Amino acid sequence: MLRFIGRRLLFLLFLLFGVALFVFILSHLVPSDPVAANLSQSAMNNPEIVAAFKEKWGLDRSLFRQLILYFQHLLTGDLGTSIRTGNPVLNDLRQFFPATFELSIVAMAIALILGILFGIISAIYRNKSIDHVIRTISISGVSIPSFWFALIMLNVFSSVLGITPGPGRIDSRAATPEGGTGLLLFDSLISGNFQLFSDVVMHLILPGTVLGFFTMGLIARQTRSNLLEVMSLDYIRTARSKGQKESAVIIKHALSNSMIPVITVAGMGFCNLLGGMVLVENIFAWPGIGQYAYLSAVSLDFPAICGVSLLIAFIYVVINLLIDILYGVIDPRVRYR
Amino acid sequence: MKKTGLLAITLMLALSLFACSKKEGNNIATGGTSASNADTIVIGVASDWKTMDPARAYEVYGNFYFYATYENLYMVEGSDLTPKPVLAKEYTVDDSGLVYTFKLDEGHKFSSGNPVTANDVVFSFNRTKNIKGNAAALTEGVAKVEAKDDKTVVVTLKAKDASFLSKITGNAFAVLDSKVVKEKGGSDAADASTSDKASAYLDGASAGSGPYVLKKWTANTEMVLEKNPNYKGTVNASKIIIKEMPDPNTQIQALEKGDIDVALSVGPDQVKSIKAGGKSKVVSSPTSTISFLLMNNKPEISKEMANPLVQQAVRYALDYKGFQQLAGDGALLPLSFVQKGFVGAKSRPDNYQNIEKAKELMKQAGFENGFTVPLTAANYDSEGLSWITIAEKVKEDLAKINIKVEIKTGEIGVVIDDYRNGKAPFIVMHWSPDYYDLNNQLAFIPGDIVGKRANWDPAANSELVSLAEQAKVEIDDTKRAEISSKMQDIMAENSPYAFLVQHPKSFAVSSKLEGVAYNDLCKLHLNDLKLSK
Repeated sequence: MLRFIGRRLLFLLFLLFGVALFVFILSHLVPSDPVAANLSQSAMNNPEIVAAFKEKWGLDRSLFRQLILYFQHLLTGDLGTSIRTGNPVLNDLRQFFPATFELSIVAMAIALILGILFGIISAIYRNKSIDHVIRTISISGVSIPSFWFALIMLNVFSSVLGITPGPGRIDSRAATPEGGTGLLLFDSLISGNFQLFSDVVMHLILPGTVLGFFTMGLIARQTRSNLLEVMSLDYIRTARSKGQKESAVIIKHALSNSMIPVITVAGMGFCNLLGGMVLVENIFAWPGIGQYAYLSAVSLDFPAICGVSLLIAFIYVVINLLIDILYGVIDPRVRYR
Repeated sequence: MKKTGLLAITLMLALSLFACSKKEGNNIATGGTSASNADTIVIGVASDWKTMDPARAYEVYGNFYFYATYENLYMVEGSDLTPKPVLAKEYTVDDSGLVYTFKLDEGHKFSSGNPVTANDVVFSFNRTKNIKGNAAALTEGVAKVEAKDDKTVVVTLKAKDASFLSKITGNAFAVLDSKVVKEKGGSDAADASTSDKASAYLDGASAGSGPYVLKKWTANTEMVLEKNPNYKGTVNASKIIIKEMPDPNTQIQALEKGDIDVALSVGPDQVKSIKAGGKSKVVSSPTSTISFLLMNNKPEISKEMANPLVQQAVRYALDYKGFQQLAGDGALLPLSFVQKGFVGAKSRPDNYQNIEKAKELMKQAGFENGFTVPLTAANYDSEGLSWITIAEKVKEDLAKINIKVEIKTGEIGVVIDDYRNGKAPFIVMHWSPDYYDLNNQLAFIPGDIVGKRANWDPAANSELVSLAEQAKVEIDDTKRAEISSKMQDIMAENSPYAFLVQHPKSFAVSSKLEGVAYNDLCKLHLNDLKLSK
C-alpha cells in the first residue's frame, strides 16, 4: 500500500509540472495583453507607466525567460504575485481556500448522507410512489443548473420564508474574525464562541445543499442501481433464508458490497462540485477560490490563474488517491490484487 | 429508545442553532470591535478594488473608499461634481496660469494624530507621480510641487490646464500622512516605482485625515471602516461594513431581508423588483458614463465603416429613444461626446433619427444595397445595460438601412485589445471619465486616446484639434462652453462615433437610510449616510 501511495505521489509531481506548463502556455496564448487589461486608457498612453508596469511584472522579458523564471520560483514554493490583488498567490490561496474547503466538505456531507439514504429507500421501495419521488429529486439534482437553483433557493428559503440567513459566511453586520485557520466552524468551536458557530452552521446549510445537490443526485441514483443489483444475488438470498432481519441484510450485506461504485461516483462528484463552486460562490457571496478564480481569469492575472489551476489539479489527484485507498479499506480483496 | 433519544438530541441541537441565528442584533464576532450594530451601516457591492493605495488605484470604486478615509485639497460634495475646498482654504493662480498656490485649512489631522502639513501634500503628489502606476496618468501635467511653508503649497504645471482643479479631487491627489507612510517603506523619490514598499501597509490600514479609518480589507470579501477619532468634522455612523456580493440579485435579496442597507452594484433590471412604500427604496441618478459605437476610420480595416457618409448614415439610423428606454429611468441623450454636467453640454434633438436621410447617405456612399459588418460587443455592461443588448438594438436599427450587422462577442479582457490597438472595425464601447471636466472628453478628438483607436488622424479635422487646444487652457466658463458647443456640432456631423446614451445609476437602499446622494466620482459619501431610528 505504501509503495502504491508513493507511486501516486510521484505521479502527482509530474502532473503538477504538466499542469503548470500547460496553463502557462494556454494563458499566454489568449489573444490579449495583461497591460491592456490592467492599465487605464490614459495610463496606456503614457510610455513611462507602461514600461514601469512591464518591468514590475516581468512582462518586458521574453516568454521563454518568463517560463524559466516561473518554474524557478515554483521550485522554491513561490507561485508568484497576483497582478490583481498585489499579494503573493500562495497567500491569496491560503486566504480563500478555507471558505471553499468548508463549503465543499459540508456540501459533500449533505450529498453523501442524503444520496445514500435516498438510494437505499428508493431501492427498498422500488417502483413505489416514494421511489418515483426520490428518482425525480435525483434527476433534478443532476439536471438543474446550479446558479439557477442557488437563486431560487436563496429567494425561497432566505427572502420569502426567512428560514435560513442571507448570503455570506456569517451575519452581515459582524466582521469575519481574523486569525485562526480560516475554517470558521473549527475556529469558532476552538475559541468557544458558540453563537458564531451556530451562525456559521446556518449560513452553510443553503449553499451546502445547493452545491451538494448535483452530487447527491448522482450518489442516490448509483446507490439505488447497485443495491438493486446486489440484492438479487445468491448470497443475499442465503442471508435472508438464514432468518436475518431485512435491515441487517441491507446494511451489513448488501450496502457494504455496493459501495465501491458509489465511492467512485462520490469522488467524481466532489471534483464536479469544485467546478460548480464559481457560480454558487458568486450567488452566495462566498469568498472562496471559485470567486478568486473567476476574477483572476477576467483580469488576465496569469500568476493567479496558474496558482488556482495547480491547486485544483492537486485536489483532483489527492481525491483520486483517497478513493483508491478507500477501495482497499472497503473491499480487502483490492489490497491483495 | 436509543434511536428516539438520538433523534431528540439532534432536533434540539438544530432548533437551538436556528434560534441563535435568528436573534436580532447579535454581536457574534466583530473582529475586535465593540460598535453597536444599530450604528453600523452595511453596504453590498461588487467592487473592482485591486489596491487601497491612493497612488496606485484607478478602479471605478476607488474613490468610494478614498473619500471615506482620505482628504484632498479640493473634493466634490453631495451629487455635485464641482470641486470644493477641503484641506485647502483657497487657491490663487499666477498670470501665466501655470503656478497654483494653495493655502491649507487649519485643524486637519491624520488618524495618527499628526497634523496635515504642506510637506504631506508634496510627498503625496510626488509619490503618485513617481510610482508611475495608473494614478500617475493624472499627475503627468504637474512639473513640480513645493512647500513654501507649513501651510502653503505651490504647484507648478507643465502647461496651462483648465481641468487641474477637477483632477485634484480624485485619489491620485489624496493627501497621505507622510511620516507614517515613510515609516512603512513609502517613498516619493524619482525611483519610487521600485523603491516604494508602502502599498502592502496601505492595503490594510489607511493613512489619511478622512472621517473613517480602514480597520480591515480582505479582497473579494469585505472591508471594515471605523470612525477616525481625529477627524475635523462630525462622523455619523460609527462603523461601516462593505460586503462583496458579486451577484446583483443577491444584493437585492440581502437588502430586502435587512442584511444590508445599500445594494449598490445593481442595475435597472434588479431594482424593478423593489416595490414603492416597502422596506427599501430605489435611487436613480445620472452618471457620466456614456455608451458609444466606434466606426474604424481605416479603410484597410473596413472600407465601409471608414466612409464618412456611412458613419453619418449610422448616426441617423439609430433609434436613440429606444436606447434611452433600455438604459432605464434617468438616462440622457447627449448630442455628442460631452455629457450632461460638463461645460457646454448639448442634448440630442427628439426627432434626430431620420431613416430616409440615412438611406440617402448610404446611396451617396455607393452602398444603397447595404453590406455586412461585424460588430464587436464584449460580455460586459454599462450600469447594468449589457453591451450585447446594445449590439442587438444596433443590429435591428441598421437593418433598416440595409446594413447587416453580425454580432461578435467575447470577454472584455480579450475584446479590449482590438479596440485599444485600433483594429476593431465596429465596436460597442463606453467611456467613464477619469476626472470630471471637458478636458477628459477630449480623448475623442482626432489623434487623442480614443481618436487613435478609431484611426482618426489629426489632419482629418484640424478645426477640431485647434478647438480642443483652446478648450484645454480656457478658464472662462462662458468662452469654454462656446468652444465645447462648436466641437459637439462638428462631431455630431463628422466623426467615427455614434454616441448612444448617458447611463443612469440605479441602486436600492433601506428606507431607513438618510443622506443618500449619488456622486459619480465617489458613488456615495459614506459620512453622509445615517440610519434613522
